[in-house]
Amino acid sequence: MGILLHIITYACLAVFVIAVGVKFHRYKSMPLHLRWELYPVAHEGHKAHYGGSFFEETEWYKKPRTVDRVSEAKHMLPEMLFLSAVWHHNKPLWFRSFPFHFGMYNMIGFLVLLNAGAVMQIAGMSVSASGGAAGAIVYYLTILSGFFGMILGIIGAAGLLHRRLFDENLKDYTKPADLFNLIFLGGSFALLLAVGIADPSFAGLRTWVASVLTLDLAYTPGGALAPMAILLASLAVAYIPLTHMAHFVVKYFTYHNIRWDDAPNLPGSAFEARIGEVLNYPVTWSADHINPKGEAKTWAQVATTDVTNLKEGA
Amino acid sequence: MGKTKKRISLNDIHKQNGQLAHVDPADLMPLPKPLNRPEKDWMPLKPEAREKYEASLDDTLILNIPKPGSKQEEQQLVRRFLNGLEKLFDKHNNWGFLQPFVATMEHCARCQTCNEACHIYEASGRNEIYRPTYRSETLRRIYQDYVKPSGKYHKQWKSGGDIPLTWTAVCRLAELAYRCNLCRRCAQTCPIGADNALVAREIRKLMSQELNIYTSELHDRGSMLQLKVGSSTGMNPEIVKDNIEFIDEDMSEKTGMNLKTVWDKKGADILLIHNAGEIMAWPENIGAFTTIFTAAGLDWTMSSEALAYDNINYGLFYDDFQYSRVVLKHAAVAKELGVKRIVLGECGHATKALMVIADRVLTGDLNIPRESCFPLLRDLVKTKTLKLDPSRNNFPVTLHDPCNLTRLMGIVMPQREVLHEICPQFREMTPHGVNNYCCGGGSGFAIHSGHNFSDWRYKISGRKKVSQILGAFQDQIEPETKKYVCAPCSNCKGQIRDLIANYDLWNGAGITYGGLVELIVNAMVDVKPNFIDWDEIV
Ligand code: SF4
Ligand code: SF4
Repeated sequence: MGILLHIITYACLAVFVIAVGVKFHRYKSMPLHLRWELYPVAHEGHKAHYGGSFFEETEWYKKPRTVDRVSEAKHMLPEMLFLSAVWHHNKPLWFRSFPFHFGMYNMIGFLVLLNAGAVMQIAGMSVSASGGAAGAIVYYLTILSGFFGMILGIIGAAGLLHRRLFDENLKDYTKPADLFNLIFLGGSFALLLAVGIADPSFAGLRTWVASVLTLDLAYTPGGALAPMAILLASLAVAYIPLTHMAHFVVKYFTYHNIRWDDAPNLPGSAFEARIGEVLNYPVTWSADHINPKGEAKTWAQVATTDVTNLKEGA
Repeated sequence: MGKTKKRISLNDIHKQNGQLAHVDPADLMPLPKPLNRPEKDWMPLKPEAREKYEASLDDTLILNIPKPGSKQEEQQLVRRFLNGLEKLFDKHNNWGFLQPFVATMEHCARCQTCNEACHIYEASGRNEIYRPTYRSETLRRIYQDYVKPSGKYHKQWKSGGDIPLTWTAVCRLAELAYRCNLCRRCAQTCPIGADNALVAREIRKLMSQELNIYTSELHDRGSMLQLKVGSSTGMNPEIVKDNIEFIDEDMSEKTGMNLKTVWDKKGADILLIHNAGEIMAWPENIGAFTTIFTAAGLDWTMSSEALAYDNINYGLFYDDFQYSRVVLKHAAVAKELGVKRIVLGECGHATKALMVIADRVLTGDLNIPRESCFPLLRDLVKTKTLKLDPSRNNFPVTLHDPCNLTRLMGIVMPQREVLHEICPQFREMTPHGVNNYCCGGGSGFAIHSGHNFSDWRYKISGRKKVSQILGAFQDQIEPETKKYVCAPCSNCKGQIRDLIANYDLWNGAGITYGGLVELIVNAMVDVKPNFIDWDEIV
């Protein structure tokens, strides 16, 4: 039982890491795209608050370009931590989505603290109310983030599920997988909460994490609840990056590589070589005005094909 | 969030059940005074049109896809659509938009946050098919069910429902791609960074680049005509030169200045490229530029080479290659002339096309510096290069923000700085700047009037803008007070002209429209007074 649970846990962690890595790599290795920015662009410094850009200057290409990372962080942090876009544009959703996401963040913190506590335990330190300053801090923070995260997560998942089931605007746009995701994640939070109620110091889970870190495969957490919770939570960790919930990875690209990607192609810039590469990609679009004779052509060749002799409708 | 009145499901798109959606004029978003009255009924789509073309989406028609002659034709269209859909996800065929497109198709949370940002959805009384998500989710499900390798195995689970891919579904989806202004206001509100405007554009592109399906206004009489004769207005170089000569004479008389357009000057500082539609419809805009550039003593020229006197680039709205062909020509002419920079006249889509989208197409000596005219105009006004008397513009003025220039390029303040300087009664619309609403003519709609499409663009896509304009002038809404909507973009100006005419806003509320340069010239002390001639407005 202990061995099986360990194997599942390692496998789920591996799936998570690989799936996130593959997703990141997939987006990262997509070819250069055309500029498709959307203002406000957060790194535009003093212009960012009203959505201005360097295009507001005459001869902008001769002037130094501002890329204000502090301003970018000022926009990004409230978005990541508090879902500011949802707050501004969809308050009813925010009251459900924020607890869910913030619950998740707390659970990440909980996991980090469980790991920290487990390492301390392995090093022979005590993680308890009377375990010295470091031990006590980790002990209390683990309890705080754990309960806070699980309760918020359950509230959020229930709220989102309710919305998916009863909001007329969403009904047609809800797939079985959406309902499953919320039930699955909400259920995982609930089971973990039950474990917490039974063992409020989370000592059992911490020992389990220590066994994972030390490859102590024989260790089995006591009772029926904890193994069930560990199993479900591990499966959830593996499942999330395989679904559209991997938007935590993709959002990096949609913001930094698309919405805010206003890097100009100044003469002699590194873009020139990349553009040269994509313009040589083969094209198979088959409309009459794209490739009238159906020859094998590159993007650049199609763009320079003379189509002025084609008759109307082509 | 508002409730949708018509319950049309995503799955309904494939059903051959007559017209999928209808907007009852009583459901349309109410308008402020003096238009706070019931809306007129639709101008009906003629039965012959319904007979001849696939016109089963809503109350209007833009694409004119002929009804199929046989089952084979139907199947062929579906097959080619799927081929095209695969190409949208292929790095070679769609490098230009692959990353934003895949991110949108795979990670939209279907939370519907974006819907309320869309003026078309809101103005229609929240008709189900005009949700920004309706077309995207339809395409997403088709992709997941028919193209994605895993789709076949867990259709129901992942996509939430099979949409049988019929000829009707493809044609309705294509038509629906032309019920979006591509203004990207919805994208601005998306917490994930998904972009439903891009999906609409990619559907248009697929239909054009794979199936030869586009609107005649954008393609045959648009980009193709431009490539063939030099301008989508149909003007060849000789006609353009004649027309500009006539404008120079007329404007010299009107301004009291000696105006002469400079042609094909090698090595000039500025190559000015107008939207050639201005030459035909608003010659005073062309004349105002000539007046300002002459008075400021700028070293500028226009080009009489085919294409280089017309900055229009309709490919931006529907076809990557048509778009590229035009920018390549613009850049080649600038290179040939050896100018230091290209300055784009008052045209939003053209400015974005040549400055932003072309940025990753033009390399080497084709990569000529390019600027919008607004910063240049702002500098001329702020540095007092032009002598201006703001009291000549002492009437209420509001500003329309062209989406392409503001939300999509971040050019927000220069035009405002000019207006604050020269228009004592300038007031903003709500909202404005990067949060503006599209005029309803965006993505080329302003040049589409076939069948009853103009009725749709007045009643639905332009409705929010009418509401905003009236809102900005509510304190002086009586027709006796003459008011000016500054619409510094050719496409938006055409739409606002049509909205004013359709709702009779000149007679009913004293509202007219024009560009930014006309207001500048109207305030120039060296120019005869009344460049903006209220008596000429009918
Ligand atoms: S595009 Fe964005 S805002 Fe709209 S439904 Fe999808 S995730 Fe939500
Ligand atoms: S791009 Fe504009 S018109 Fe199109 S769906 Fe979005 S908000 Fe509506």
